[in-house]
Amino acid sequence: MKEQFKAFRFLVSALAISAALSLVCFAQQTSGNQGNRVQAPKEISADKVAALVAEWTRAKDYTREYLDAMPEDGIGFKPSADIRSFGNQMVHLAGGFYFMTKPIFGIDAPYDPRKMEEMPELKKDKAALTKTVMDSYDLVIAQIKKLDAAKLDESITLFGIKMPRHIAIAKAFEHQTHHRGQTTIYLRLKGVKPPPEKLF
Amino acid sequence: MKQRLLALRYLVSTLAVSMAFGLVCFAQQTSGQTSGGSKPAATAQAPAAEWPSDPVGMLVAEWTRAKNWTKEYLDKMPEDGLTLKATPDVRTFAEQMLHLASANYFYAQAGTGQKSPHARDAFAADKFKTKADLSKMVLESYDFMISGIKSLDAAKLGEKIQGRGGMLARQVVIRNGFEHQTHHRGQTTIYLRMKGVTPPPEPFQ
Repeated sequence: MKEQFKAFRFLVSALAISAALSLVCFAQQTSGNQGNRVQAPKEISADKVAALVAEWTRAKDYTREYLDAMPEDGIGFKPSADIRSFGNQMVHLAGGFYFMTKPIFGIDAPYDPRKMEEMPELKKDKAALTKTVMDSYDLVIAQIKKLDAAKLDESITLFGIKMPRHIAIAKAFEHQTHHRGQTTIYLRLKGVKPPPEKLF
Repeated sequence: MKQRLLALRYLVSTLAVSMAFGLVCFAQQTSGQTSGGSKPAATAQAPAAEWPSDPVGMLVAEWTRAKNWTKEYLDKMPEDGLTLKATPDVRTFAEQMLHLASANYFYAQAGTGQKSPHARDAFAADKFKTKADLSKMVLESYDFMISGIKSLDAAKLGEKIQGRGGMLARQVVIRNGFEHQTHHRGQTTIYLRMKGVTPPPEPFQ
């Protein structure tokens, strides 16, 4: 009798879980239909890899908004003579990822980050610039997706310092935030209102 | 007999815990002496050759680095640069820094559960006429975050709280705060350049 009761309880909970899962699946499909932009989730995933993918996707979308907001003739713009142009800030941001792909993900970067800022097509062509920058985010996101929680905690060496892989990824994230942040002022100086902050 | 054994075990573990706390406290005091707030940035702690492995230690290390980096920005801006703004419709340098400070308090309050000692109007730019006053407010906002993080443990970091974007783990709120200060410090890089100052190098270590 007791055994039967246990089996029944197991069945009921399995049913509840599968109902919940299909509801989530349905909700995701529905929200996916509401336009191209993915809605911010009401809850950040507890799964570490999924949470990182969500953060990097948000960062990519945010940078895309900056690129979209800058007029074509603003790609070569710089607020003072001794700093990077808008386009070069963006290329440097992408190059920052490529500096870290070897130590963090163990793969060769598709470009030499030191030479990227000199690539002529990235100095004035907004479409080419946008593609290069978006591709660099896609590469990072694809590499993160290949990791698991144990790989995230694994110790690697970056800048001569031993650190968990997820800390190194956080530094790559910080680097792009730092440079995208700088370009806010470039937009303002071109009379463009910067995209609102996308922290979630 | 069994009860006595239990009591003994309890005593031993209490002793071990209190010794551990004592050690941590000593270590903090020692590190505090080498990276005192009012000293020039040159005496800031050298990066460790190995990253702390516990989640609280990692966050403290990152926020301490962020604080030192922001301090270098403040140190480098000349006194008359506080009111500089790149265009009429953006924040001045001081307003950027105060926005960053007030947000640090906001995220620390939400993420670590401390009560901020400041009301919103405490961050009004007209209250900060000197770089010393501004720097104090900004650097204290980092201290508030760092001491708040130190009061947490790994389990608390994962605890879900009601945040701006829904239910968020404390560590996610703290990380969003980190991104926010990076974003605004980054903006002020251009203000330094416009004043002819070479910005501090990026200390990602």
